[in-house]
Amino acid sequence: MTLYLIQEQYLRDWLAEIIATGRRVIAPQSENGLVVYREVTRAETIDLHARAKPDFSFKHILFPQTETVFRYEWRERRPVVEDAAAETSADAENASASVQGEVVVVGATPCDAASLLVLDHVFLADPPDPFYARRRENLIVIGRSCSHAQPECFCTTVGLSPVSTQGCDIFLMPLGADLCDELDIGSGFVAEVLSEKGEALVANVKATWVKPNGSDHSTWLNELKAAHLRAVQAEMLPRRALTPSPDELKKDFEHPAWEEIARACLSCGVCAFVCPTCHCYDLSEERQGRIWSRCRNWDSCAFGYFTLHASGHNPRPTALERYRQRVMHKFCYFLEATGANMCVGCGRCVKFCPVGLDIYQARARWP
Amino acid sequence: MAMKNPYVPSILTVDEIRDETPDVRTLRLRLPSNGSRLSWRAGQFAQFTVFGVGECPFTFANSPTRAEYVECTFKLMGKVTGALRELAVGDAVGLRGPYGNFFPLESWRGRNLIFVGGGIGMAALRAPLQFVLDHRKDYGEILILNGARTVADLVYKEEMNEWSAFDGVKLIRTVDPGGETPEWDGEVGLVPHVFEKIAPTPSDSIVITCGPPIMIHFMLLTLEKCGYPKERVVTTLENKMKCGFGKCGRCNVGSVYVCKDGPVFTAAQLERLPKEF
Repeated sequence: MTLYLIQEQYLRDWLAEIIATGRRVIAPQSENGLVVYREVTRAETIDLHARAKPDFSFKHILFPQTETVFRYEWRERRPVVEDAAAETSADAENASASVQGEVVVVGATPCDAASLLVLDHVFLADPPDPFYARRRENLIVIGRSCSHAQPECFCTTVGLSPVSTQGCDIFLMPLGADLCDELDIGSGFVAEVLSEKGEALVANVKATWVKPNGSDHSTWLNELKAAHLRAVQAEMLPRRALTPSPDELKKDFEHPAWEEIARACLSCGVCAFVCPTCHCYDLSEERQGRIWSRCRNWDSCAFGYFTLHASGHNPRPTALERYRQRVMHKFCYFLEATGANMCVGCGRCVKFCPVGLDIYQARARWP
Repeated sequence: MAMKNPYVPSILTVDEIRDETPDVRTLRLRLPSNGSRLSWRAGQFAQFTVFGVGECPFTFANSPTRAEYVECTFKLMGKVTGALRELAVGDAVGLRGPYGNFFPLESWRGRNLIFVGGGIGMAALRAPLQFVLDHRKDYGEILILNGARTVADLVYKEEMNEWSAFDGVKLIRTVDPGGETPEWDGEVGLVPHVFEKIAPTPSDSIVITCGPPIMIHFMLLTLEKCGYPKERVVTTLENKMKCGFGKCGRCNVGSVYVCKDGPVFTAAQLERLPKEF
């Protein structure tokens, strides 16, 4: 890990340079009253001091809401199949000669960046998903600390925080006014460069990115982060840390409280659609003119059809079993498989739920 | 770096169509002529595509000892199985797989095996049965208990007769009460009831059972009552599946994915799972 101090203007110049090299840059942008990760063409439109996290994560960059996995058409009563991954792979092959295949996400929140580790676990496991793997290989994540908490935020209860760097190649944190005065740099940032991808991206800017004086940077950085964390935590609702306890949850699988917890659920699925880590999908046949495609679409365990057998048998027939599945998958099953929660505490499912279901509250009933 | 696209099916060709019952059919599929081979283990499944309609998971109905073709036995249920019935000899079927785990037939050598199948569930037992019969001397006594709602719904009728002609193979057939015909000479009664009545001794036997969820439920209770250790009771599950390799999330039950951790489970493993299958 390398540490730099940068004046804001130099940071902006650098972002402009990244855009100028032809890389795609994705950053939170306002769109129809929501803040969403979208491609930007001008560095000025990147908000380096955003108060809130975006309304949705950047999951769609790696795992689009709908996508063709292969195509076919009929020739003499036989289907002729065309591999959609071969095209993206050929495109990427051409692009990888330059930096143009790279996609840089700027301003990823710690929760969104951390969600990559969950998605990686699913999509890169054998057999790797070639669509995800190709995009992931070309993705560079520049994270940022959260300067403010929103009412739904609960990242600190699931082992993350407004200053955690998991999933980031570079992590930015604004320097306080005192420190900027002391360093005489106006407004500035501290940048942690955390990976080879990150190193490559800052390789040309070392003239304007300054390494801090002294040798014991880690203590200095930890103190800076601790102060930052205290300030944000003061805005968060008081909540207790969720200790990883898959066995406790399993033991209470049949607990009557599930009925009460899930009673209001409308099975609308919005929780899965706004979740950075939800990755369930459907495969279906689509047709445009003579060309058929097998399409992959986001899906949700909240839907009754999700588990419905053709025979009519449904292993999770009501909202109770389905909402319980959501909680159990996030906090028990995935945890058992990987040692980590499948929830990053962004709270978007709480914010967008039409009936106010709260996954933190549901989980926090158990030890 | 070319990465294999696991969603793309191979294209097989319908070679033979055999009706097992009024709504159950077996397709024999010819492998692609490009010389590519397919190897699988008894108990594994594949995703079958009817082009222009969709995809469905089915077990390999034939044993890998007979791998020059692929057989798929299915019951008319919905969209894809309806479309599969429309296919004629020479039509294309997509296949990707094999997926999932398999019956540990190697470790069952020397054992007595009891196959208990209900309705279309018998399709999942055909591959291990063929395998065992193709290695007849490696295994002990074999009992086949095959049940269906009515006489007309019993699958693999002719093959059953061939199987029961082997030394040391005993076949018992049963139909649900009311499903019998005047000529019926088999048992009348639900599969678990008939099993309890014949009560084969548990010593050294492995029980392999597959059928509708309700039959599996009562079979497991019956086997427990009859004293079969849960580690020696094996079943194969079905759940809604899309990808077949542990990503799409459909078939998740507790900490397992039926597609990659199953479909073959022992009763001891099932006991540790939530009852969501």
